Amino acid sequence: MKSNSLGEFEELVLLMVAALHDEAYGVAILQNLEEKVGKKVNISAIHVALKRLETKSFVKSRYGGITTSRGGRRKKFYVITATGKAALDAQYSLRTSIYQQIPNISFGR
Amino acid sequence: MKPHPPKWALLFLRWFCKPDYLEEIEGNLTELFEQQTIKSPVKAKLQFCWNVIRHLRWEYLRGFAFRSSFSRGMTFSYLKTAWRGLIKQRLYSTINIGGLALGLTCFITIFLYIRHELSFDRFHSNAENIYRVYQHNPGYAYLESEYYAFTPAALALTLRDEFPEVSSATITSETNGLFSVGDAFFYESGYWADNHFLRVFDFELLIGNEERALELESGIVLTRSLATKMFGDKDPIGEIVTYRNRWEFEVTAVVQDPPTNSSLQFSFLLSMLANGQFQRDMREDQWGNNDYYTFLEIENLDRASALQKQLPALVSTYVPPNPYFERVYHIQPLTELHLESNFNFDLGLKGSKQYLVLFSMIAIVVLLLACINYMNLAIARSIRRAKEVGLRKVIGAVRHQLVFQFIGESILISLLALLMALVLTHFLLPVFGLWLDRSITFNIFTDPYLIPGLLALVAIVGIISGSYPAFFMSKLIPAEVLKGKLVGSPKGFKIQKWLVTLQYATSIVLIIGSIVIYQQFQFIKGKDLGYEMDRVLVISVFDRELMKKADEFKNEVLTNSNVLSITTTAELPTNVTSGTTIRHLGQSKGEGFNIYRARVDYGYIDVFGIELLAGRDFSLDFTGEDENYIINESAAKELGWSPSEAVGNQIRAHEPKTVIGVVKDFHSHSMHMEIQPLLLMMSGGYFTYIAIKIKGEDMPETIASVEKVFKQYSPYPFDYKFLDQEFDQLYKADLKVGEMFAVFTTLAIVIASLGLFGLAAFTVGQRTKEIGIRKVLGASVSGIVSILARDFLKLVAFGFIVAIPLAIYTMNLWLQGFAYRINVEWWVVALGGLAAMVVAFLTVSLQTIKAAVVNPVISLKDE
Repeated sequence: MKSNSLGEFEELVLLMVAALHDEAYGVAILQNLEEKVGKKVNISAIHVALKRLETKSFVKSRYGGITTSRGGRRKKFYVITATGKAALDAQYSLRTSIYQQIPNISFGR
Repeated sequence: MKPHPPKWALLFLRWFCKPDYLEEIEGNLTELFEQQTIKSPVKAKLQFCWNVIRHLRWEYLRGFAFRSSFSRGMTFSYLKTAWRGLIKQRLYSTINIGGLALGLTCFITIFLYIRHELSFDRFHSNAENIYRVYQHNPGYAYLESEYYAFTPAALALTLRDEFPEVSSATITSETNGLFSVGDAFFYESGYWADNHFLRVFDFELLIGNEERALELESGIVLTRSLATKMFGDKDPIGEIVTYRNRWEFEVTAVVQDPPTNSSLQFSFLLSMLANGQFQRDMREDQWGNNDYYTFLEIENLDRASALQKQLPALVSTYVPPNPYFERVYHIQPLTELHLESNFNFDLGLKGSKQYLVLFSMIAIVVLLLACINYMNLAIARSIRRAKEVGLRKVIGAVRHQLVFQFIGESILISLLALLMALVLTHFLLPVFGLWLDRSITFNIFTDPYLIPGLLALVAIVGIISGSYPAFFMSKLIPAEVLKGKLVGSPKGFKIQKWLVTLQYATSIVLIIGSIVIYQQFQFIKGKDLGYEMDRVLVISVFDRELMKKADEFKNEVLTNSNVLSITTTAELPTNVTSGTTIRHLGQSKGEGFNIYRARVDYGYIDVFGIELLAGRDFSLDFTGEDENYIINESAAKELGWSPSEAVGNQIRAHEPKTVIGVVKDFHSHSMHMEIQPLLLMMSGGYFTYIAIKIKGEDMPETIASVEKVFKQYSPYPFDYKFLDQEFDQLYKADLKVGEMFAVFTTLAIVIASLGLFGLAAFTVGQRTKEIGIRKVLGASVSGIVSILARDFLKLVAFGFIVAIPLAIYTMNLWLQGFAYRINVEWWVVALGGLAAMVVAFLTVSLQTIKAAVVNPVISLKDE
C-alpha cells in the first residue's frame, strides 16, 4: 500500500477544506486558495487533489441540494476526517519541531 | 436570458468523463463560468473550454475502471468458483474440455501441416532468387496439361552465357540405379547435376570443395546418410563407387541430407558431364530433346522480369522451329515449385493448393463447432449458476466484472483444453504425417513463434466461446433469479437452438459427402475397366542387364505351373503416360493427333485380359512385328475407321506402320479422364515392368519361386506389387479426401451430439416439474419422451433442410472432377438426414428417458 504522504498542494487544499469546514466545495476552495496564495490556480488541480485526499480517506464527501444555478448540478461538499486532521497535526508538529531547532539568528537590517 | 457554457465543450466533458465525477466537475465548471461571464462573456467561454481540457486525465476517463474491479481477492474468488464448477460438474467439464481439445487438436495439426507445406524450398538462403524454367507448348496437351517442367540441354548454358540478368544457372535430371562398393549393393535415387548445382542451391557442404565437386567428369557427391551407409566412419573422399555395374565415380564431396521440406530429394549427385545422353544431346540435338530441369539464380525481381521479357527472343534466336508445337519459356520462383501441380514430368513431392484450402476450411469449421458447443453447454449450465450471478450482483458486482469473470473462465477452460490438445497432437502428428507422406515436426520449445501463437489462439477461442454466455449471464436480473424464478424463457434460448441447427446442418452435409465419396469409389472399382487386375504380379525393373536376358528369364518363370502367362512392358494398362502423335499416310506433319503409346511385348493383351475386337495380337509366329501397331477403338474412331476397317491400314508417327489389331477401349488412365486414343507397339527390348498372371492357388509360393528366379538374373531388389495396388495408387489423392471426410464427419457428429446433449440436459432440467405433473395425470414414459424429443428433432429436421442444397451442390462439384461418375441420389440425401436424426434421438433419449422414469414424488417435492 502506498504511504499516506501529503504533498504540498494537497496539504494546502486539505487545510482549506478544514478551514472552510462544512462549506468546502470545489469553487469555494479554489477562490479562497487563490485569495490566500495570491496566484491563479486551475480548478482541475483542485479536483485531482480532492480525489486523492478522498482515496487516502483524509476527507469525506456528501452532495448538497439541487439549485437552479450551476446548470442544475449539485455541489459536492468535503469535510476533513479524523485521519486527515491527524495527518495535518503530524505535518504541523514536524515542521514546528524542526523550526524550533533553528538557532536564533538575526539577519541584519 | 441566462448565459450558457459552450455546448460542444459541455457535451465533450459529458462524453469522456466518468459519471461518478461528472456531477462535481460539471457543477464547479458551470459555477465558475457563471461568475466570470458577468465580467467578460468571451473570456468565460474560453476559460470553460480550457478547464474542460484540463480535466482530460486518465483517472476521469470512462472505461478505465481497472482499479476497482481488478482486485486480487476477486480474481482469486473467480478462479475458485471456476475450479469448483469444474470439479462439481464433472460430466459437463469433460464434455467441454474434451470437445474444445478435439477442435484445438484438429486446428493445431492442420496448422502445422499447412506451415510445413508453405515452408517448402525456403531453407535455401537465397531461396527468393532461385527460379526454374518451364515450357509451355500451346495446343499440345499431355495428360490434360500443356505445361512441361522439362527443358532442352542447351538452355541453361545459353542463359548463363548470353543473358547478363542470370547470375548462375544449373542443369539437372533425375536418375536412379544400383551402386556397388566392393561386394555391397545400394539402390539409390539422385540427380545428374553440373558444377553450378551446389552454387545455385544451398545444400550444406560437409567435406570437399564446392567449386570442384562436380567439375570432374567422374565426380560424385554423396549425402551424409549415403556416405555413412557406404563407407561407415571412413573418410569417403577419393573412394571409388560403381554405378549400374559400368561406370566408376570418385567421391568428391559430401553434403548434408536435403531437409524433408525440399523439393529436390536425392542421395547422390553425379557429374552431368558423365551422362551419355547429355553428351549426345549437346553434340547433336541441343534444343530437341527435352529431358532436363533448368534452375537459375537471378539477383532481384527487376532482373527476373527483364529476363522473362527476353525469353521469346531467345526462342526465335536459338531454337530451331518444331513442326508439332511452338514453345514458350517461362520462369517461376523455386518457392512456388511445391504447390505447382499442373506440370508434366515435374520433380519433387507435390502439395496441392486445393488440399490446403480444404484443410484450412475444415480446421476452422471444426474449431467453430467446438466453440459453439462450449457456448451451448455454458448457457445450459447457467441455470445452475444463475443464483451465483444474482448474489454477486446483489453484493455489488457490476456487469463488466461478470463479463470478465465468464470470459476469463472460458479462457481458463480453453487453456486446459490446449494442454490436452498438445498431448494429443504430439501423438497424432506422426500418424497424420505418415498419412500425408510428410514428416512434420512439432516442438513447442524450439519454435519461437509457437507458444505466443498458441496462447493467442487460446485467447481467441476463449473470447469467442465465452462472449455469448458472458453477456447472457451478466444480463440476469438479481431480484428474479434469487426469487427462484428460472432464468430464460424458451425465447431467451433461441440462439442456442440456432447453433444446434447449424451444427447439425454441417454434420449432415458431411455425412452425405462421405456416402457419396464411398459410392463413387465403389462405382470406380466395380466398373468394367476393360482389363483384369486380379492375380497380376508386377515387378519393377531397372536392370539393363536383365533386359538383355528377358527371354531366358521369361522361359524360366514359365516353367512354374502356377504361372499362366508373362510379359514385359514399359507401360501398365492402369496409367499409360507416354505419348506421341500419329496421322494418316496422306497427311502432313502438323495434321495428326496426340495418342498415348504403350511399349509392350508379346503376351501383353493376354496377361492383362484385354479384349481384341478385330485383327490379331503381336505374335512370335510372324516376323517384322516392330513394323506393326495395335490401336484401341477410340483411336480407330479418331482415324475414321471401324475396328474391322482399321486392320491392315497404315498410319505413321515417324515411319508408316500397319495396324494389325484393334482392342476394345480400356481405362488406360484414372476415371478422372475420358478414355483416350491409344496405340500398342513392340518395345524393342526396353521395359520397366515384368507382369505375370498367376493362378489363385499357392500365391505366396509362386511369388517366392519368381523371386528366386529373379535373384539369379539380377542384383537389384525384387520390387513387386499386385496390379490392383498399382490401381489404388491412381486414386490415392481421392482416397485421402474420402478418408479425411470420414474422420471429420465423425468428429463433427461427436461434437454436435455433445452440444445437443447439453441442450437436452438443460431443457429437461427446466421442465422437471412439468414432467412430474404429466406423470401424475397419467402420461406414459414413452409419451413424455416423445414430447421432449420432438422439440429437438425439429431442430435437426430444420438443419437437414438447410443441408440438402449445400450437400448436393458441393458433392456435384467434387464429382465434376471425374469423367465417369455417379449422380447424387435422393436416397443418399435422405439417409444422411436419417442418420443425423437417429444420432440426435439417441443423444436426447439419454436425458429424456432418465427424466421420464423419475418418480413424480421426487420431482415435485422440492421447496
